[in-house]
Amino acid sequence: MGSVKPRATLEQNIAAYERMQEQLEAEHMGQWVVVDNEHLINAFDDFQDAADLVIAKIGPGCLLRQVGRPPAQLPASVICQPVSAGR
Amino acid sequence: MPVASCGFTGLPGRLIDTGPELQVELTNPWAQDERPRVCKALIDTGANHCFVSGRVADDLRLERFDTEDFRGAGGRFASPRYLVHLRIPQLETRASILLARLPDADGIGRSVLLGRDFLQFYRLVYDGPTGDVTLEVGN
Repeated sequence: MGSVKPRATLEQNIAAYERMQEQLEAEHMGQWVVVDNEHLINAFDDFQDAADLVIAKIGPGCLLRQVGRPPAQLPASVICQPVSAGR
Repeated sequence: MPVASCGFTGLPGRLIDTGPELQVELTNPWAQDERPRVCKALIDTGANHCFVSGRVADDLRLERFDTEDFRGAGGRFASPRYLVHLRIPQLETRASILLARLPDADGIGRSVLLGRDFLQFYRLVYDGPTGDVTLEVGN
């Protein structure tokens, strides 16, 4: 019997996404993609559809990301807090 | 159509001080038998993403589904993004949402920050003179 390959980790799925990024941006720009075991599982226009698939059938470990997402920035409410905050 | 009150009627000064806030319930989708975590969420139109405090994320044992490199005044840092069920009791809505971990959220006094990726599905009305802020599902 051959050995069973362990399921890919989130970090491995992120690396797989980065290898596929050019193709994903050409074919699925703006869509939500699910990458599991280093393969594209599906792409969705609606985030809820992608989340439903992940929750019902795939589970933790996969990557759920919007193709071509804008860079994230911390909001001013987090960056700039008065020194008295939290006292 | 239900409308949620997120402001402070008759207290416009308090709205200035704290900003609009909304009571939400968070659940780990893989621990749905557990009681939801009730949190106060800051509605922040200046944020492009949604955030959860590290403390709440750890308490709920949320699962990572992505990481995000954030740029801020203090430099860059990588933050996990968690998939969560978010319920808004006032609106009788429940949806899945991605929340990025915010290591130090205590300064904003809320466990959750709802940004524009959440607000894209809602209609927010801010009435500064009265202190009223309302939120409802968009068309």
